[in-house]
Amino acid sequence: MPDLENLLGILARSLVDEPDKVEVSSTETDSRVDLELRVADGDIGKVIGRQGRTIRAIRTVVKAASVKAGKRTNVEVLD
Amino acid sequence: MREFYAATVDEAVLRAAAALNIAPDRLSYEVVDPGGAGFLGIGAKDARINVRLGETLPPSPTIEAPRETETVDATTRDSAISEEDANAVDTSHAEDERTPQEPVTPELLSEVKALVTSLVEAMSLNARIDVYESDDEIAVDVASPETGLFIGQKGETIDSLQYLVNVAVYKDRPFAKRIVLDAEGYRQRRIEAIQGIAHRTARKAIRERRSVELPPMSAPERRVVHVYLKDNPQVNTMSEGTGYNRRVTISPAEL
Repeated sequence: MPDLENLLGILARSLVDEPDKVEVSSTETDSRVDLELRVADGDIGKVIGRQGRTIRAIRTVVKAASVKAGKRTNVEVLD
Repeated sequence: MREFYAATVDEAVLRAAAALNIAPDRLSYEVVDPGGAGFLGIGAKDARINVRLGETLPPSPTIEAPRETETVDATTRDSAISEEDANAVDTSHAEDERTPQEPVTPELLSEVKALVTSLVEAMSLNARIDVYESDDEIAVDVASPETGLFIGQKGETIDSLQYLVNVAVYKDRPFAKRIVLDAEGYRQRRIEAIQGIAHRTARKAIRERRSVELPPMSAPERRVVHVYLKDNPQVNTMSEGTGYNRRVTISPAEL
């Protein structure tokens, strides 16, 4: 089973300047997984990207991985 | 020794010849992988050759690459290729005249491999990952029994991963070569599919004497359309719309 928290963590840590400040949490039900991403204040722009391009790509990848788990996902960046 | 690849061995030889400015029949090379069309495009892979650089004859600067029509010259006849499309990060294997300033180091290649491997594992895909430097890119070939999941609809997953890997790898280092993810020859097949759409839509535009819109495409995909129809005097191409809705319109030249 894909570990979506781990996947989101790897993606986020690879993009930010302060990987140690990356925190991922998730709430899981039978049908869906809600993931929350926290990064250092200065790194929020890095995970969102210009016109949201980076967060959109992150969501696409996480969504693809969630197909195997048979659940819908949602990724939110908390500030 | 330098590696080149394309859909077929012949094309790879032409590509190598063009890049090295050496006549194709003077190249000394060995076939690494003869490639294959696969079955219905499944299992298709690139042909790869290794060119022995030392054994080639001196370059003759007058040789024109026979098949390098893919290179876009923004100043050519068709000004319809917008700045954005012409400069688009190209997902095709087209030649590019840019010479990268930064060398591709073994450390860079292993960092790319490590990142892609960890991502693919976290997606719980079984995959064999092959990273190598080709003429104009860092090629990452992902071989997996679950290629469909890795590529996604219209390539959205592989394109997203490719974008993220490029951003992550070049975050703290100067840009060397674009990192291109591929699986089972997907990139080449996608280019051919888009060329087929462009061809049929151009015929429709001519037959019906009206402009016909293509579905929205990414910049490199739109570029494939512009370049493919550049030499067709019967039609003009133009990109219209903004953001994710940007699409190519094909119009008959007479309009």
